[in-house]
Amino acid sequence: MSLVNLAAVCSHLQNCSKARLGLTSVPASGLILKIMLGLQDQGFISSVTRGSTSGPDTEFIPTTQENVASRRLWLGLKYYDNEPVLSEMSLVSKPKQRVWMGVQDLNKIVKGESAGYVKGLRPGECLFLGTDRGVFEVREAIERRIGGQLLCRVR
Amino acid sequence: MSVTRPLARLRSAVTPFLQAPGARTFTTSPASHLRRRPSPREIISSMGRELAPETAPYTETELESLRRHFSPEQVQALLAGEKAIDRHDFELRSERRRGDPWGLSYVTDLSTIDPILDFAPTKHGFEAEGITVPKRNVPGIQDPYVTFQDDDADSTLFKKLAQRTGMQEKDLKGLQTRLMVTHSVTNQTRMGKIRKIYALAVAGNGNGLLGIGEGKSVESEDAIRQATYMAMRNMEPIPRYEGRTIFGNVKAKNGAVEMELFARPPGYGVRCSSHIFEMCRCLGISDLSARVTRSRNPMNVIKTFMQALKSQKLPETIARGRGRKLVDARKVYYGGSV
Repeated sequence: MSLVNLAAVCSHLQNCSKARLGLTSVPASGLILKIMLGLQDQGFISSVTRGSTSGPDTEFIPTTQENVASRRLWLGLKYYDNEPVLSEMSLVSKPKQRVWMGVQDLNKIVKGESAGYVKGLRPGECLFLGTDRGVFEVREAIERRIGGQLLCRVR
Repeated sequence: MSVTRPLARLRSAVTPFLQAPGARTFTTSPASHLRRRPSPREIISSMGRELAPETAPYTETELESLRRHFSPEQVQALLAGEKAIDRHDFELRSERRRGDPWGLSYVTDLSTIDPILDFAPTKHGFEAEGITVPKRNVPGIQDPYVTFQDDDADSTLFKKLAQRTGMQEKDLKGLQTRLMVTHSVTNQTRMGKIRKIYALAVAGNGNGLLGIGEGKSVESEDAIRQATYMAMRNMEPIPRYEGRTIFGNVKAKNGAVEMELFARPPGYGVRCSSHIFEMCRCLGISDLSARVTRSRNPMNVIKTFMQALKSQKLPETIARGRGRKLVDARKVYYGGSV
């Protein structure tokens, strides 16, 4: 779980939104793919497509030893009302200080109260968690009564 | 990742935004006139049975279905009520009107006389055949020695404002206005300094409208009048949560002023600097706290506050942007009475 790569993705998506891009690519790793699918479920991005550095795939190309370095995930960004739908995205756990939380603290955060060093969620904000059962949005994790490592918060 | 979520993505259709006619709502719950309990007759018809004419008494099958939905006492009361009413009245009855029973179905102000609508059309306008547009009256020659006293400056100002904004003069006069900043400014020319007075005013109706205006003139009174006029003219609707605070926390930056606004619970009060406090009074916000960092120049603080209020992201907009459905749980659980 490289948080360094995730941090780069967060900044990259913020920059793309500010530049009003329609399509962008991020490194294709397992963690990033899961978070991107989570973002799509929450409606922050319109599409997640497999692809390479040259562009999204038109047909399925399996990842092999030869092409693994050039594999990318292509994302469709969304805009509504002349504003980007995804405007802020930042890490909560840092490479040097990772943050884990149980359901009780997560409950507080969803209510908008801070827990520990983590500030509460603002209206419309999402928080992604890495758990032993996969990557979840915080509200779904609470529903399943599981805690985990706080990865990033999105707005 | 859950297996069920891709399905949820498919059915994320946005529900139509129900609105009361002519009203802008900031909530997701339907307007009160759209919430209505079905009548016993509607229950029967929704069950697929043919509806008997209104005047006919209930048939045995209808009674049976009513008994299924209502307790025996209720059915008894229902039948007793129907028996007590003359069958002829059933033909005449109409649906009960919700809300104010004496309210007009259109917006008007009956306290003023409308120059066109309140007078019967004169005959001469339509005398000639084929002419659809009324003729203009020939202006009479006025006595040059008789001068009419013109209305004072304030009244013409309100008349002009009413024409521009489409608001009633009465409403305009009831607006709250505050003079926020005045200071003298100078323009250095080669002839020397030209001094003028600058004024900044805010105006609001205490119920969701707020505007700021600036004026500049040699006379301070003139500058203030200009600023007030512009503030009233620039008024625009500001979204408020429950009519008392803002939607979430807002950050704004304008020049060297940086500002953070925080939504607060009921009864908290407006704990802000004086300029923001006054603007909240005009707007009708009762719970708010603000933090103004860096520059605290009054003029720029006022402008930034206005900008911050306008940059609020409404939950409705966020939900629309993400293609998700938004429901206010309180409105669902308390029967929409909150």
